[in-house]
Amino acid sequence: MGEEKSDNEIIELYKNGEREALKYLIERYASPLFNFVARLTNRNDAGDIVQEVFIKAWKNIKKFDSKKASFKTWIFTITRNTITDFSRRKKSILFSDLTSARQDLAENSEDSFEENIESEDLLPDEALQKLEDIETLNKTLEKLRPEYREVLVLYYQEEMTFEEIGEILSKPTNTVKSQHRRAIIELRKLISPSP
Amino acid sequence: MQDKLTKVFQKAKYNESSILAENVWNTIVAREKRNTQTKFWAFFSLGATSLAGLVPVFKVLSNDLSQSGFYEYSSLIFSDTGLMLSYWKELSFSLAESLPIMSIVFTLSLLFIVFLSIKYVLKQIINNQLTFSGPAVLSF
Repeated sequence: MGEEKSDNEIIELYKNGEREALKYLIERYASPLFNFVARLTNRNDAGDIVQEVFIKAWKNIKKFDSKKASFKTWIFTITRNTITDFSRRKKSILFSDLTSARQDLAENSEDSFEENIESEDLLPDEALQKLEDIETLNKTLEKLRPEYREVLVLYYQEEMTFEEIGEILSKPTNTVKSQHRRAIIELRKLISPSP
Repeated sequence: MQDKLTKVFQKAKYNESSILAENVWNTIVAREKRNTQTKFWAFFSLGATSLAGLVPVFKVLSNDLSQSGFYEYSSLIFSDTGLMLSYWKELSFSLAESLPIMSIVFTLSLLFIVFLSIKYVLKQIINNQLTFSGPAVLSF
């Protein structure tokens, strides 16, 4: 086993004719993509969607430019678009419809009370303890709006920065931050015991 | 809170990577093989057709060259150096005018297609042997 190669080094090897290099990229991203897709759609369809994503990536990998974006954000963008296509095919909720430009603008300009709350206050330990149960987490996430769910999954599950999430979702960083805060508030509402 | 929520999400991850990655890789290899085979036979057919077409095209070119007087002008240039030096401009123009341009373009195009097809077919044969039959060369 040699030293761990970066995504860009592997892509360069692939572009230079080392076909097997692609296998290492697939092995590296299969699990994160599967988890991302499974959280946003469902576990049964996740495998097929991930397969479609990798085939799209394989077809377009020669056009990939590491100066424009990292491979991670590039493949997650493909995944997000594939999920949208899949949702359209299944005639379920459209992510793009839910995130209209008008809504983004409103979220950006809004200087609400919620924006000033410290994130530590949003989800107290008591609430977090409830989420530690996998079933509760899954059910709670399912109840969240898709655009909130994808921000939470990318931020906490894939441990991406707000900038990276913004690139993937084609939204300004401030919008992503705002959506993250709203998602946490929504999450708190969902797990708080009803009065 | 961020760390705790990250831990919660990490704990709840699904674990399906190894089978999925293998399936994806096998699908891509199968598609790549299919694409390569399609391109291989397309170029092979194109090359073979062009090669077969070269025989009549060469005959037409040879006919056109003799009919246009190209051979006569050429022999004149090489037979009398003195005449060539005196009338080089006129002779060059006559030689150029006698060239059957269409036949030459057609022949050269066919030759180009033949060489391109041979190059592609050989490249695919070499790549195929290296990629799909040999063991993985890389180690990460």
